[in-house]
Amino acid sequence: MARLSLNGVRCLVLLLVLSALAACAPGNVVVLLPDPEGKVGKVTLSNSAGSQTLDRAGQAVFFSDAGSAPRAPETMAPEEIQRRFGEALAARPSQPLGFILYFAPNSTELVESSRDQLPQIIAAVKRRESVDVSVVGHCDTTGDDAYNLRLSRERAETVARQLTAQGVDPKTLEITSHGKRRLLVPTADNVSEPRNRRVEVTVR
Amino acid sequence: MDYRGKRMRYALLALLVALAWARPTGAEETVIGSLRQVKEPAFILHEGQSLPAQPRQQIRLNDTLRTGPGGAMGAILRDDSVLSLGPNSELSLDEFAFAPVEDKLSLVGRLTRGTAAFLTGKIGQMRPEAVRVETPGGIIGVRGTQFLVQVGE
Repeated sequence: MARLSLNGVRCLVLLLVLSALAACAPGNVVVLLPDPEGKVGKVTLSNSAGSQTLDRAGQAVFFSDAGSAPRAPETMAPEEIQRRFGEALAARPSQPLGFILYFAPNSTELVESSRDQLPQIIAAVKRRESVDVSVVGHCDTTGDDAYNLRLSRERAETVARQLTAQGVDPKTLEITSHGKRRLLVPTADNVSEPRNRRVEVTVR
Repeated sequence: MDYRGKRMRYALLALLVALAWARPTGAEETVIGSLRQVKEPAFILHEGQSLPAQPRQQIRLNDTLRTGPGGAMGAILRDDSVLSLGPNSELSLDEFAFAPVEDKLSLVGRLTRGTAAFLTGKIGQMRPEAVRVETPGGIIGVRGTQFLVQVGE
């Protein structure tokens, strides 16, 4: 009987120790990394009990449930990052490939150097076996909004037709147009700027 | 209450039920990106159905990505966000809008378990406050970067 209760006490102590350990090592964590160009942004972890911001590479914030304040940020060693996240990091896809094709003024005709780039785009689609290619048309600021939305749409469709003619599956294409609202080179209104007359193709 | 009043009430009730039942059509079918690499066991939950994930498969809004023991997968979304999951993980893609001309920008994912790596894309560049990753213990807001999240059991 005495023996049994001793075991009971042992169990109780073990349980207490385990729950204390669990309490000081919350199961959730966010870690900040630099982006592929080496730039470090910011992430903030918030819940109803508080909020912590990370702004240095390798910083981590541990947290448990939504009602408990997140711990103060700490540095996580690269080996620990690898131990926890190695498999997720290894599954990261390579970055999308971007191409910019330029056009003659007020026209859906590609400039020669851009026409010569089309085979590279086709090759990238095939090499990556991409099922998601976006084709986005843009204009410079000459003319009004409606005209430019239409022209940028026609530019995107012209490029899309040339890609599908070379074997790119139309189902994988996303064709959109942004008119003169997303300038590559900022200009005043009604400025003819060759670098803004473009179609951006992204192969994912 | 007279008969007509009762009938009105039933009609109203039926309408409310119908409205609750109806989901925005088309939204479920929006392609928001594609899977690139897949290590089994890995699944896509699409409209309540769990299907083995294939590399180079399109992902739609409201899909959930799920991996089992030893599984992993990586995806690129249409705003060039890059994300990947480690083993025993689950991420649902609850909101995705990338239409700058209509001023619609949002990206919300929910990691309910496991590990994930995120690299924010164009939505994050254009409107950082429109990007977030939710977890059971807190919400992660982002200012243009790469980050890792682990949700323990």
